[in-house]
Amino acid sequence: MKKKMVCLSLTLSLALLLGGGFRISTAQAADFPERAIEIVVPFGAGGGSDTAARAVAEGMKPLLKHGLVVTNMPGGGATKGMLHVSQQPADGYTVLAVTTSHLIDAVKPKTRAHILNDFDPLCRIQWDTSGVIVSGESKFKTIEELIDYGKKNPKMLKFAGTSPGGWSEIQTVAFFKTVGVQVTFVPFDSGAEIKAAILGGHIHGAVEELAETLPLINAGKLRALCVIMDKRHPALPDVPSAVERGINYTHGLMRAWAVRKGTPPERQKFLLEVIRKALENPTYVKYIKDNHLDVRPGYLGPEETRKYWEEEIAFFAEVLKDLGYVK
Amino acid sequence: MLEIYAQAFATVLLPPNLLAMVLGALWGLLAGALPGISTSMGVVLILSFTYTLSPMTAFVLLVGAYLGGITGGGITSILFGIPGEPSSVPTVIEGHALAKQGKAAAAMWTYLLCSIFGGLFSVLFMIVATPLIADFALRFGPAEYFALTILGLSVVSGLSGGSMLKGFLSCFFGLFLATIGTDGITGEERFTFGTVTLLGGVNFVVAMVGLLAVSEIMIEAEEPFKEYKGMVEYRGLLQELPRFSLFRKYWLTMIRSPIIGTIVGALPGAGATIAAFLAYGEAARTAKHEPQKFGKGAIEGLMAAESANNASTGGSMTILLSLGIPGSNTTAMLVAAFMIHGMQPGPLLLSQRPDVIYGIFVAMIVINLLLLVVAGTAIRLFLQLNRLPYSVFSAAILILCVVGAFGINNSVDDMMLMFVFSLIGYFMRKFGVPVAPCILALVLGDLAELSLRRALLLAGGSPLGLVSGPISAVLLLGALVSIVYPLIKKPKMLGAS
Repeated sequence: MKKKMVCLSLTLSLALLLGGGFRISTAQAADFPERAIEIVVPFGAGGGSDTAARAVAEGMKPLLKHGLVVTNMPGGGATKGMLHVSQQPADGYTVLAVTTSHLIDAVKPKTRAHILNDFDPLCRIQWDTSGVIVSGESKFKTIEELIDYGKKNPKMLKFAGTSPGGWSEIQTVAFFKTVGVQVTFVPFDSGAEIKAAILGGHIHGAVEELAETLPLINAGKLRALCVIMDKRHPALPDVPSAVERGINYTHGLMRAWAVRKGTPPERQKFLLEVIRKALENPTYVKYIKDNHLDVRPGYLGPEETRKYWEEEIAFFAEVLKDLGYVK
Repeated sequence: MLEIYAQAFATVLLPPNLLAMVLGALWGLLAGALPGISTSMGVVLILSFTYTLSPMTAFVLLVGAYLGGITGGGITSILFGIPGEPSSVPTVIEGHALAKQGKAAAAMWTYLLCSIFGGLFSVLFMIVATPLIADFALRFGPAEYFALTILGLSVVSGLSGGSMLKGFLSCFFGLFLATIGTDGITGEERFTFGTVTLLGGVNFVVAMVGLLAVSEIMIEAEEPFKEYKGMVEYRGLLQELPRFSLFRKYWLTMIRSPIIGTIVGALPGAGATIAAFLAYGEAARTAKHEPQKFGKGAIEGLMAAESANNASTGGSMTILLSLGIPGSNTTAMLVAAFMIHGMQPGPLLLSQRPDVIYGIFVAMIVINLLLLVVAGTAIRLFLQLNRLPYSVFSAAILILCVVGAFGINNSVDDMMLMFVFSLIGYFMRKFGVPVAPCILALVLGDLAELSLRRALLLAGGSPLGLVSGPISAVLLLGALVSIVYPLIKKPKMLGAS
């Protein structure tokens, strides 16, 4: 009997405590956005990161009393926007749209703000899929033929990409390194230039995000030799996946959101909730469907995102060391 | 075929589409005329309003803004000496010089007529020869791009206005400026002094506004309280219109420039700015009538640049609609618009949605004609501004320059950089060093360097790769002739002041 009483009172007090605690946190959360939230996109308007951020932001707007603003802050790769957010107060009012280039920056010795040390991830929102693309008239019909040629002719295989020392070079070189091929990476200024160079027969191919190249692949102007993930791409059912061909390489471009480190946890939680709801918004769901961003599940919670970032950074460190960007 | 076009005309001329075209063109003109808002930014800003519109209305609105933007750059260039768009820098050099000679109205009308002519020429060229233009553009690899830029740079001698030594000095300074920023091949930082601002290189518009517009205000400010030299008495429309004989006199430029513009516009690595400079350079190189006037108000240079930059729209749209490859920043925004309306621009679009493709062709013709009216009205209003005394006028221009430089990237550093360039421009002018070659080199330098290094990477380091194709060989030969020929013809010019 006495034991029962103790149990009951314990449960009661625990419930009170929890309930009280809960009330406090909701009170704080309710106070939190007292003005508009600013989303800093470290790239120019109209690009992939910008469209992605705006698509999510569209779904967040109705959930925030004071709305939100998307600010484009291009410059210095993606460092200018990141630096700006790292200098704002850690109050949750400034959110950074993170991309893979920030993870790569974290490896470089000259990094001006560090994505792991200066930021807390809210969540990962997208995980894009790349493919190995060659011209429709290319002599390479399968990924095996390409790899075979590359192995016999070291450095003679020339592949295009965009950012030297950035994601594009890393994914090209790392993919070919996994299959034992030394490739020559030739950087161009934009995806448009790369496509024109492949179509014109000036370069062998590129390892690129698939969504943008799909129309040209469907028209037979370009050919995908394999998609870089663990299963086949629904839009390209005839193209083998890398894993299926025994290539253990599935890295892809990711997009995530983060706030400055030290932002109160309940504010982070509030923002995360709003983002999660926005990701279920029908307009956003249609957007990722149209852009084939739903092929692999993009969402990861805060802890998983941090863990994923740490693994990717370790991987990038290794590749960049191989390439001679980091000593 | 004819039925398709008739139907397209009927759709495009529906009242909501007509209204969208007028609004788009007006907005584009404004964005183009303001130095801080580029054409592509103008298109981005209205993109979000198109979600709820019908696809055709959305496209004609955006295409209207695109064509309007490319055209609008000329207004501020001639009147204020501020390049509203990077592609109208040659217009600043020649057109503003004309305005200062009191010929603002004539320069404005010539610019407008040439712009519209270039725009229409390229649309017709595009309708007739889409596959041809696309195939030709795809033949441009790194070696061909390099040859093209060298040909562009080789006209420095024609832009030097007397002293070739000073011309080349200015050109090399521009080439140096082009090396600042992140190296496009190795990702290494060059001359950035550890700052974030310079990582992306020297922004064209910031440098141009400083070198051209602000430095001129500084020069003019040395003579206080004078009336603006360019003040015009506005006469009737008919008296101001350029005579037909003007176009007959420069017929070669009027045909050649839109062709250059269309082809260069179709190259994803080049675009309106390089098209304008190449056409301008060609006009300077082959000028028969008054070659000495280049840099000091040659109407032929203005005609070449404006017809070429407007013609780049047709080329850019060709490669977008036939292959889904955006040839410029602005057409990249149009890709986004296609996606919003559930279409994938690519080779298959023509068979899937011929109504949209032909609709856009037709809309481009109609918009060009509308622009004649809309921009014509705008020009008449803008010319009134020319009556202001220069002291008031120059203050307004300075504000526009500062806001423009800041507005490109919302960056105070860019604004500071603009003032640094205005000082450089001031001293260049004081010592008689022409500014045009420097800007030409800044525009072409980056592409020249990167395409050279790409070509060498592709050829395994062998310079023979640069001349292996017929296009690059011909272009390089042309460049060689245009550098060497003036040296043989007038050896005295080198070093003479």
